[in-house]
Amino acid sequence: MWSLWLLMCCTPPPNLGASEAFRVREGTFFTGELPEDEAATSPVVVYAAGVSYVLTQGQGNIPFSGLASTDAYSVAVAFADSSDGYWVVPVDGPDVTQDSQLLFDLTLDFSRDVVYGPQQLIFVAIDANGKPGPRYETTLCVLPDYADRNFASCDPEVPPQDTILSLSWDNNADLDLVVVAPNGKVVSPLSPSTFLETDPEGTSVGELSRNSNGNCVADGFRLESLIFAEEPPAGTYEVYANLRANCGEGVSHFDLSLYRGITHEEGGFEVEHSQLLTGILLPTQANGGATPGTHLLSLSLP
Amino acid sequence: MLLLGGTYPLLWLLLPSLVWADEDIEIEVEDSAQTPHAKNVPVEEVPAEVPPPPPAKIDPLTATGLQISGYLQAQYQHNQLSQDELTPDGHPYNQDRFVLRRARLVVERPFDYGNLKLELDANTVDGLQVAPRRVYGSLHLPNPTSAEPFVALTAGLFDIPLGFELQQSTEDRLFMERSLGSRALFPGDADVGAQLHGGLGPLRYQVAVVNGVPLSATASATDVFTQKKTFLGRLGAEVESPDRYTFAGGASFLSGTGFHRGTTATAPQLLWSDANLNGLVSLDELGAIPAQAASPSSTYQQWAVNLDFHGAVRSPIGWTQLFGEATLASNLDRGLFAADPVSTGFDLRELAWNVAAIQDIFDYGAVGFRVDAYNGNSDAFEARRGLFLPVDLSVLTLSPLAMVQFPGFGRLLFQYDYVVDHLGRDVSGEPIDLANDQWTLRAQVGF
Repeated sequence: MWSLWLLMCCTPPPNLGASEAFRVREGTFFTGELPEDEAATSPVVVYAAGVSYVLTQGQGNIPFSGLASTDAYSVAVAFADSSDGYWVVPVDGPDVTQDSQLLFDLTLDFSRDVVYGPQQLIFVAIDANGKPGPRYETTLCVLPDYADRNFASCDPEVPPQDTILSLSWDNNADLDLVVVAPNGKVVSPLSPSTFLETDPEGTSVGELSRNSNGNCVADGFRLESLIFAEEPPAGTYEVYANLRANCGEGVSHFDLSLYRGITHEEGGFEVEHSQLLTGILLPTQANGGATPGTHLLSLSLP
Repeated sequence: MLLLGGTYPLLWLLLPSLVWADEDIEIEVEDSAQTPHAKNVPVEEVPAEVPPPPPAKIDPLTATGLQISGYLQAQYQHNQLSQDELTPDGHPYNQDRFVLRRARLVVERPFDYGNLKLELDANTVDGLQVAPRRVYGSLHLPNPTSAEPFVALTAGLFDIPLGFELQQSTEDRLFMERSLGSRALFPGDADVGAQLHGGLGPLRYQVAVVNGVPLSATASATDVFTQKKTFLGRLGAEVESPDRYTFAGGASFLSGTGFHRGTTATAPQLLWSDANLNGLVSLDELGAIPAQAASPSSTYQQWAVNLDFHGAVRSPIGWTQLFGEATLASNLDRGLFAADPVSTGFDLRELAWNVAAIQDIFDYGAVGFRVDAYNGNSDAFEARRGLFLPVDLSVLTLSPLAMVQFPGFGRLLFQYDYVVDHLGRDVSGEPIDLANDQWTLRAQVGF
């Protein structure tokens, strides 16, 4: 009797894969290890490829397509080492130009928490009896969302930016990162650079990456970064978080982080991450841009 | 107990305006308690010090002829699909919740040759809603030997006269809801129109013309009235021997018109597709969508035929009931798959049936079991591996039920729905049963 009750009330719900590193729009999520049989000769994934080798954390609508052998019924896909399960999509019709092997298409959405850097995406064809074939690997590289498409995490020859001050938040409110630079320039989406004409020649310039959720147009980024490609001018930076408009949202939880690029003398690069502050902004603090917003901290850079 | 205890405050919130509005009515009512005594005592022998009799207590409702009743159904429901996540189109997966399923207040005024009825419903199925469920007036020629009149004309919002389930009282029905097929074909159990009905001996007949859009708690895209109205009716028979047995059965038909929405004219649009995923706009990623002309709306035929039966026999432990019905329909699904033959290019065939049994256990409870099946499109196909293959859209639901009765007050019900369908996908991409069973625990009280 008790087991029946437990079955009815407490059976864990199916895992929909919503918290996975990526989601497949047409796919069904299965928990467990990706099935594969390296010794099998069929079914096989002949090829699989996406439009681009590089993508960014949080980027969606990434099309992948491929070809599977004629005995395939579905194709499973997962990251090589960071998935709790795998996605399955049924194959489509035959490609008559490729010996009637079966086409498949899938659309991927990558979460903002996906590990950045090179990743191995594994495809496995599955036959009518659920028997898997060998794996087919393809490589892609994920860029960190704060770095505004800097390729350092994907290409070891590319150095990371020197300094990134990044404000991120958790809803579709129009928050702005506002920084008063040592030269007195107020950097905000309305004036997205530390550059002043009176600056000495050769002074490093910091630029704001974007105006996220500007005018309450939700863009999904929820992140603004002040990026110095080279070492920023020394001095104290006054940092503000300005709730320009709450856009019908509730409380906004924000995170302020600092990323410093480190070049090793023996070669190679590293990015050091420091979480400076977390906090909340109330809807009543929305000011339409009348003030710089809430002062978060004074950041001294050497 | 919290649910049960809340009934009377609800009643007294709703009743005062009806009860005390008639305080000033002067009614001559014979006091039965005093009259026999007065007849036996000569007037001259009445002592002078005897106080006058108290004024007669008059029920204002009885004086106006109004009959008021009501009931409340509150429940907790659980579904295996529930979790705190959203579907791809933004709806919550979670269905685990407390629900005020029905709170009904019924006001009825019978006349010698007619009847007026108003039934209001409050529920929290889709937010808080208060709406009329039945509102009609009826003129009838009574049959002195039967509760069923020879002929009656009813107009207003009334139960759809087709089959058994649609006309079964939601207060009396033990199963939580109508069967899936009935809910798919008729999202609501009432419609607006006029009906001619009655009986002669064991024969029963109903003929109605209605809008053809069952009124339900949630409006849908198919809720459009057409100029042509829906005709439906039922011809059946009923025999009964009070406290011993009752048998009934009938055949029903429906002929109606469905509506296919046309499209409105569109403005030209510029479309950007980030083909190389660099987040930047380039000329080869821009496309133009020219303006489109409006397309006209159109209508299509709907029909249904239905057979139903209901039998009940009383034994020493209580009534034993067996009932069921089968419906064959075309283009009539408005609640589950929303049939639209103009879009699909062919008529959709629907088949629904259910069989149920209920055994009373003295006056203290009952157990029941229902099997219902529904196929919303018997000719459905889907493309898999480049082939168009038939797909089985049928849903079979097995529903055991247990009820504890509190005589004169209310009842507590539990129903488990074991759902067998083909909506899931296995690892090969083939359709399999989806884990979407559910159970409901309901408390019902009435007055």
